[in-house]
Amino acid sequence: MTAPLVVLGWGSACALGADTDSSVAGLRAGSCGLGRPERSAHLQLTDARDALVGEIPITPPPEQRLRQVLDMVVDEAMDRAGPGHGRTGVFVGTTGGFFVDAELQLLRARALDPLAWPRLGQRGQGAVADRVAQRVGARGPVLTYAMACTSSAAAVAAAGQHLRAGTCDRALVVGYDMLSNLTLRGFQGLMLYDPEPCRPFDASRKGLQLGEGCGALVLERGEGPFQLAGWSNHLDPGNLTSSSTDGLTAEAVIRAALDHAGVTPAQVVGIKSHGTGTIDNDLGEGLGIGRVFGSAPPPFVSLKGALGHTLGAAGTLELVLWLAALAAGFRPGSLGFTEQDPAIGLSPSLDPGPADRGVHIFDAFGFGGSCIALVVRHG
Amino acid sequence: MADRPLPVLAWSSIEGDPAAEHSALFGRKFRRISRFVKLAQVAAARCTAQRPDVDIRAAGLFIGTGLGNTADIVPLAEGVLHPNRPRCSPMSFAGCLGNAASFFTARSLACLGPNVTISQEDLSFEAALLEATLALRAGDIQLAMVGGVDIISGDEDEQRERMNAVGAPGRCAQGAAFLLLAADGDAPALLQECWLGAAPRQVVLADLPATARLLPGWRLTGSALCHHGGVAEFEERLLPVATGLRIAEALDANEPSFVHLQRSAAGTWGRVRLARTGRV
Repeated sequence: MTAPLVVLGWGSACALGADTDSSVAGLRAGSCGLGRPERSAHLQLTDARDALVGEIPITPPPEQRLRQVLDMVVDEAMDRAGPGHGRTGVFVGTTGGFFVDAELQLLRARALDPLAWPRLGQRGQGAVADRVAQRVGARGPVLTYAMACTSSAAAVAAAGQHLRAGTCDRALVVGYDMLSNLTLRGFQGLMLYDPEPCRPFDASRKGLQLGEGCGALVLERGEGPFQLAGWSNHLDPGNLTSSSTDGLTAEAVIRAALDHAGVTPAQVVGIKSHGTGTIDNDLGEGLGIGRVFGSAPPPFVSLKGALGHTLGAAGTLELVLWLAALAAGFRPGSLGFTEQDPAIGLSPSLDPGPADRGVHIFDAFGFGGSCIALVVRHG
Repeated sequence: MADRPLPVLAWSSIEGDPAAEHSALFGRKFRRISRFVKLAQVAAARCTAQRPDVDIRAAGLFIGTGLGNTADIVPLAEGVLHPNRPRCSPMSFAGCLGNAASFFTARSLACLGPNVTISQEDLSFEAALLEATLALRAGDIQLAMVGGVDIISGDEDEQRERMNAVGAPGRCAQGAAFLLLAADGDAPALLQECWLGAAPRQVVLADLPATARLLPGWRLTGSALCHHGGVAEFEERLLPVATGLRIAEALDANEPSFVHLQRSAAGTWGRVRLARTGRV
């Protein structure tokens, strides 16, 4: 059964705004949300404090904002979607869940005793979904996908699968990741953190910046202006922490998603790329786009220059912002690009453009070889 | 209408330390591969070894883990926030990825279809199994390797705290299990149901095998079996993915039919039903 799936509502919080309307206004204006950390007092390391990050512009301290952000975004999405019927399933994608709690626990103990070495009561990622399920009274499956930077893109695909299989009547998809010392330090250690604002697909790109973010999407079976039409999941078995650079995997995952949706490359009018600003990701993805669409692809855009990389949240958050921008009458543009990389041979679209009706593609690539592509029809 | 049963071609489980078997399987010691990944790889290899005739290159790989690679995550976090010498080895950071076990297991098996990791404390194995059944029934894949893996890290008290099982009966355990499922065909067992949701706290007796034993925490009322306690009574092992091990053990024991029920701490229920077919 390939029942049509309709996007009924969305919510978001990211470096551009604490709600979707604010963030869409930022995208329309070409704003960059990256800056030095001001609201993340738990970021302890000198080099972390000096790094550019994307913080959600709300004032509560870290221990409160962790859950406040999640609640705000879920409420926004459910309010926009309106009342549902039947069973709601919850599909969360996150890399860290509430892991910042463990860092705060350690830091609180150290504030009292600099040599304190408390036992970290770190638990799994499921606490985010449990909180969401309780908040919305979910009676369907409650599932958490931990697939690095593709986590919440995988959650969108899974929600589509569940809706079509009838395990739930409404799917609430949430992508969620907040800034932690662990991820900042980890990406710096991997030499993937650029001290300057990231430059996706640019010849001089050197890496990414992290952002905190949360996106939520409400889906049901039915018709509407935005239809989740297809998806695909591929494994890139080459390397745990870097993408293959030949473009073959990116090509395969995009083509498979188009096939799943029953559409052709000629119907595609926009591509929300993963576009991290890292050398390997952008090379592999750019070549993959070229292999599918040739030398004149539809407009492709990275949102990382505006938001930073929100890791497990990115798949849902960037999808939400893209759809909300289309609903507001424009397609977002890329930040940070000035010079084409001859190895890629393609340039992203820099300025916001028209909200073309047709098929839009959403790429997500992650550590652990995870590759997801989603297809949405804007009709 | 009930979903059609899915053939279970092979199964496996392992409990304890996988190091020696991992070295034997792969021909040498891999010091940089974590215990978490080794457990998954060994269980998966045991499973596929039962069916060397089956080509799993296009199979989907679905792994559930309750807590992930905690043996490496916690020390890494402590190292990052060390008051005097903060450190974060890139290798350790990469090894803490939620999907590291599914990545390395897929590579070791050359199992290169869709790759999914679910990590949510309770019901992680059931969730991975559910994802696989949907993909098989949708026709996205013809074969699925479905696994669960969790490890012990720190001392007993720490592990119990992490599992939200302080004071619960049973013993902390680490292990992994795998099932090899197919979209159709003959098999020694069938997966009849895998279901997750907010069910009433009861199970219709007709769903249970005649040989079902009443475990502590359950009581009979009329035509239903009602649960009146926590989840710990179900399973002696305190292991988030114990369901996978229980299923593999029940199939090993040639149980004619088997129902596994689990309730998460958040109140979601999982129900898995299998039956032996009599075929070898």
